Amino acid sequence: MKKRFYILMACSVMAGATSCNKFLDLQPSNEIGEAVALDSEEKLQRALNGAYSRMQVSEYYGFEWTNAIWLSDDNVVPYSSGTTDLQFDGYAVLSSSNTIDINWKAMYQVINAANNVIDGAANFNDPSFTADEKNNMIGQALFLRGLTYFDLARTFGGVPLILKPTRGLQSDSYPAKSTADQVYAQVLTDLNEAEAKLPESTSRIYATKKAATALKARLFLYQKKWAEAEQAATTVIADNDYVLVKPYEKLITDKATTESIFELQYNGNDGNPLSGLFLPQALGGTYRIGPTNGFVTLMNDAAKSGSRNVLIGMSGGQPYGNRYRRVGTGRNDDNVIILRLAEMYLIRAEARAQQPGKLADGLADVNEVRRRADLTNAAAGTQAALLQLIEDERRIEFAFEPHRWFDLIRTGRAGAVLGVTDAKKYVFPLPANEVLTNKQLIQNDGY
Amino acid sequence: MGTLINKKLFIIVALLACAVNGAWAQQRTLKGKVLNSKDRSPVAGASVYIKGSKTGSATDATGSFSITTTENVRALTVSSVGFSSREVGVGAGVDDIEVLLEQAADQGEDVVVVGYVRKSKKDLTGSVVRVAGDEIRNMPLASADQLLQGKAAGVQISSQSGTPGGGVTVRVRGTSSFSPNSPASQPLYIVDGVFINTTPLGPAGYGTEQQIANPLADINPADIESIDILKDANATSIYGSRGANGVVIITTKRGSYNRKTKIGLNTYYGTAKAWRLPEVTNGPETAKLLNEIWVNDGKNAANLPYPNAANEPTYDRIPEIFRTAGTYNIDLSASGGGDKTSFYIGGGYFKQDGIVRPLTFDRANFRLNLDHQLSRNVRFGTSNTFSRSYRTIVPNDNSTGVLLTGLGNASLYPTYNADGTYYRGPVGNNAVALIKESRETSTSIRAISNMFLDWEIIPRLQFRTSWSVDFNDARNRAFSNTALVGPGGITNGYESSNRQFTWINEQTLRYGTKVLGGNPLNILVGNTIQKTVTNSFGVGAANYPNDDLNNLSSAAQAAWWSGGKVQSALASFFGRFDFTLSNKYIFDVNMRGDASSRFGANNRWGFFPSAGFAWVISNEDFLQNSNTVSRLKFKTSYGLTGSQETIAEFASKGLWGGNDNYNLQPGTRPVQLANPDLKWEQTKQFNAGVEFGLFNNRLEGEINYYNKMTEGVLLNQPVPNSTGFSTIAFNGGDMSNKGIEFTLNAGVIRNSNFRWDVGLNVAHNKNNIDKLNAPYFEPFSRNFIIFQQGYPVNGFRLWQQERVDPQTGNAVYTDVDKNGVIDDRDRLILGSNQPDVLGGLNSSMKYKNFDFSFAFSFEWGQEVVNWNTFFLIHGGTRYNAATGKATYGFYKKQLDRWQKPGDITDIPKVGGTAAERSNNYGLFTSRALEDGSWTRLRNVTLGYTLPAAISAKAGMSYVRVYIMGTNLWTITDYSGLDPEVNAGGGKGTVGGVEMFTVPQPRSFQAGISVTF
Repeated sequence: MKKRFYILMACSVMAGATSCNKFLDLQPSNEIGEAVALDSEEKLQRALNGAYSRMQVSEYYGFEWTNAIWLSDDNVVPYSSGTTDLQFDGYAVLSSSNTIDINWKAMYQVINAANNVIDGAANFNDPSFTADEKNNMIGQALFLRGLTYFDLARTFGGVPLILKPTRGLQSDSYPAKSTADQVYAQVLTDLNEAEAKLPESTSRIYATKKAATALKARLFLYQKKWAEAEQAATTVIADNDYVLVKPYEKLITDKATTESIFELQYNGNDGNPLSGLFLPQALGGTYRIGPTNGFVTLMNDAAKSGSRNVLIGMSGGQPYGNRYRRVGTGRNDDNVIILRLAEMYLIRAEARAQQPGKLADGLADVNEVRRRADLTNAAAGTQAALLQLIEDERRIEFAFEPHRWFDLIRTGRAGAVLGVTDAKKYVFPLPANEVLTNKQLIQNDGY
Repeated sequence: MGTLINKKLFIIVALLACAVNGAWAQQRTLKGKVLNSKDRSPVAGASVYIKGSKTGSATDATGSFSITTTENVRALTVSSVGFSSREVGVGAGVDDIEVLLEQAADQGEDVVVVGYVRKSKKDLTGSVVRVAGDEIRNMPLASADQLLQGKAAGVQISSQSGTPGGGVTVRVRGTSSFSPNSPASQPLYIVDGVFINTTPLGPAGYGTEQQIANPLADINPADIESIDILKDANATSIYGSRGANGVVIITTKRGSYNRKTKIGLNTYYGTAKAWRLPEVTNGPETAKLLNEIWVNDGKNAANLPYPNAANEPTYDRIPEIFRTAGTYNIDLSASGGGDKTSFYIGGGYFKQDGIVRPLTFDRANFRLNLDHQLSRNVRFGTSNTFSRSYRTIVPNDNSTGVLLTGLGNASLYPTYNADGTYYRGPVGNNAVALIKESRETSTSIRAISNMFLDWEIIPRLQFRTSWSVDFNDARNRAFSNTALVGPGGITNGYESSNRQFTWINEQTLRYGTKVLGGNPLNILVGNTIQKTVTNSFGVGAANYPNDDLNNLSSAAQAAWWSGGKVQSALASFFGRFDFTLSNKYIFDVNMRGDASSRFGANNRWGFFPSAGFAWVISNEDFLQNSNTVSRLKFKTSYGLTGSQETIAEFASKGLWGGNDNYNLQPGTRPVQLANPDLKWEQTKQFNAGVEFGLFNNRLEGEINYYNKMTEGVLLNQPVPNSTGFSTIAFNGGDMSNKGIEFTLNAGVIRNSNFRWDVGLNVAHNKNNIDKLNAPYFEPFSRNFIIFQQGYPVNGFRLWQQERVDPQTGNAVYTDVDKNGVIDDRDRLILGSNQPDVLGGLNSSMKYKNFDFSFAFSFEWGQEVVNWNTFFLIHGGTRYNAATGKATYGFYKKQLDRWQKPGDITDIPKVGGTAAERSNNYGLFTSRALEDGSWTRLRNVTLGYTLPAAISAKAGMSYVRVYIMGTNLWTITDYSGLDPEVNAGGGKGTVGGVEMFTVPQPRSFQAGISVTF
């Protein structure tokens, strides 16, 4: 009997002591270590897909950021919940706003994802990974980074410029901010490099050389570099792969139309939170936000809206925004259009209007867009009239795309149109958490 | 030979020895009695063996034994469960032997279970509280932890909601961690030697930040013999890395050897309802407020949203949401044993409906505890519980759940359309549809099993090996049928499973001896290894053919899926040593070394020692004969304990994850920032206390002072989001908890007919975050909960409303930086959920066959944020801005708003410009902050036990009937539904927030207990 117990005891002690370290050295199975995350071409491609996917999240293009931009203009007001929404609607945005916090976080996640691809692809060398493949991959990531820094700068003004992937917490994890001009300069550098690296192909849902050119056109517009803006827009307009779609409603119901230069492709598996945001409950939506009375009036004026009046619907006698309508479980897959041909026309129109002697050409560009909306050609005899025409066109043409708030700011019209005269309110506050966590980061003036 | 008992024994043995002349090698019959040394009561079932032989016998009910043998008998060995074994020399010619057995420490009155050993409370240097199973019996609550409320000083037990089987926050001596992971700061629970998992696997409501299922609800309180709560470092450091937040040791009932089988039956039925109901505005009041908002917004007064406000209908949904809910319980048990084997078998069924529809909880459970004496020095046994808990839950307690949609949708909206279908209001779904149509359930299967073997290798050297498993599988299922999704909606459902499996192996070796002239010395060493694996998966589907075909496989489309596995392992060595000198000075030392898989190889090991000293002053000569002071002990201890479970399993690694796609192509992304320096969180605790007993211990008490310093608190420290990450697992802060605990128990009246005992416990704890690199904002609360250096945990950071301007009706807030603008710099930490004082008052009376008891518990000085007010006193921030129609309704308090110049009120005007609305109702203001102090008459019981003579006629040995009420009386200034709530129950960093949280029920019940 005793012998048996001695054996049992010996076994137990052995069980306890057997290669303790091996027993404790557990590896995660839901994730992989960062050291092996980017060590093949395939893994780099997965990381690039991840970077696109970061752009789609509900905190960024998939709802919260676009929502904040809409609420700040005069087209959209909160319909149901949302005291946070009211802060944007009332131009009393607090740095503690949860929306601001998650926008910022999501945008820098894109930056870090893109930085990882840029750095990872540059440092991965394999005979099967050709120079073209490498350039294409890096070029796409540069485009995504440029786009995100562009959005950061127009939303917040100057922000920290991070161009290397984050590996562990270092002293440079606490950066000071660069000025908005420096950020825009970096955007231009990224887009130029992307243009150089990306192939001459057409894709509506992946970054291409032409998408980089189109984004440059917008950047130059914001920077008031009229000639450059005109030139970049012309390059895209001249491309036969881009055609304005008719009717306008196709932009709402269809994906990747011939007009599209770059849009985020959603699918039912990880639906777009924007889908149903404007729709009443009866139509499967949340009715969170809706058009202002002013915008409804504008839409009802057929001479101004034309076939774009499909942006407004009526349900139970109440108006609603009729965009992002592909709702339903397994659906909710409205794409988010970021760059399309109509914008190139209106960019060129504005760039021409700002240059001497190009009023007629500018007006022709506006009329291209108006004709697509089944409207008659407009007339504009003076530069001021043309600029006003462009502003009004943009308000309607891009009604539920995040443009108007930025347009009114960059054209200096926010005071006159929205009554926001305090220029400090033209950028959002930096997130309170971020300023508290990063002592190098100075809060925007006025917040 | 210090004690009187030892002296007596010495004399007996000596007398026996004197009678010896020689041994007789012929048949003789040894007779005798085995008696309890304490009161000379007979010890039945004691084993009496001839030393060195297999010949022996057991004592009968009178303690008598008789052994006939031809062997040469020099001595007898006598043993019995609960007593110290003895050897008694036997002289020739002596055939009537009296053996006095000394009660083993674990059978005395004041015995507690501390790390791996039972100890008499008088021999402790640490701080331990025992709650006997009897004290907590029959309460209409699902889980053991809830039952402890108000029973032990310094132990804060707060129900997170009135959801049956829902989560409970337990804090022993304050909060010393603040990880958002739910087990943070929860004590370690040990059931019959098994370190059980307390990570909630399934929701009681829904979602990780909301009401969680309580893993302890899987254990039937009726099976519990006792609960010991270990509070100070000396008591807990033998649990090392897991002891920092206290240890709760639950011991279940076991059978006794040589005992006639005892059958117990215990059943009760009760009803419960809310002690306070919400008050919302009726239809006309709601309409009037919306008209006022319309006008104040500056819109056309001729075009009011509700032109006939007074005629608007009212649909009172509160009676459809709240109900009088039943609770039913039955327990059946059998216990007993033969001379080698003893058993306890228990079975129970408990069903409780929530006071808010459609919540239910029911549990069926079995228990089997077996002990077998294999030989004189080998014993083995097993403890097992198997249970099935079933919950009916509703989607999302606090964002689209029954209370939110029921109270939220303004009362002028109907419940049904004219055609009888559900009316879909503007806020979420229809509450009644959720109640009647929602089919979301959670089924948890739990098995906790332990097998052990004790081997007395040589006298006083005990070896134990113990093998345990804790298995928990929570399976959730939901189906949203056609009626619930409404016209045009697509039916959908899901099924998910979370399965957690832990195995534990443990060895201990203990040795007890007497040194230096009879001073007891005990030594224990041991090791533990354990591993926990959690597997989970879930699948959501949509588009079912019809409402009856609602299995996943019937659906036309998959909607989502998830799945994964995490694991952790811990290897430990521990030891303990105690020594008592002259029966006056007690020294002990505990230590444990733990290695955790959660940390990198360099920081894997943690070492947690502690030491304690106690001076039993009453054993000094000058007090030995005191009539007043029967017991007086001073004790102090200091030690280290740790914590590691507050962070994720692989928190130190830099990780990339999947679950991303673009254009249906899989994607990966960085998900976690590496911190290879991550190490154990360490708590240093000092304890000093005095225990006293006066007047023959009729008045007993204890006072303890403690100082807990937690260093390197493991937390998800915020990092600049510009890194692409928001947090890093970090040893990022220091926190202290200092406090005093006071316990007093008085035997007020003690005579043969009337007995009255009163117990009071009061504790004060001061929590402070001593160091924190960056404040932590809790995202669940939209950042109004803050953890900031220099403040207690869970601070409420709000704008302080000074007044409502009588001229404008706008709220005026304290302009902290005096810059004329109210912004984030003007927020102040105005309170926290940490109570200043907590405790309980318990009284029990017994007069002849009647018993009467009551218990109060209280928490004073904490604040609660009533987040409901943000939605239901919204002042025109939640309505359809275009049409002016209602979305959310209002609490009645909204009617106190400012209306015209000169009005003095603290509720600002409704409506106004967007900036005014944002200022008046869009901020988290001090209006929502209230004193959350409460005192509750937790429980009142009146019982009657049938006289033994009468019950015996019916063949029963014990019959008691009783009635009980709980939460009969609540004293609080809090105006919400209940001060004892926490909307973010599943998160360690959310406390003191009411947000459409189910309140505590008030209940009445009647029951009967019978023993055959």
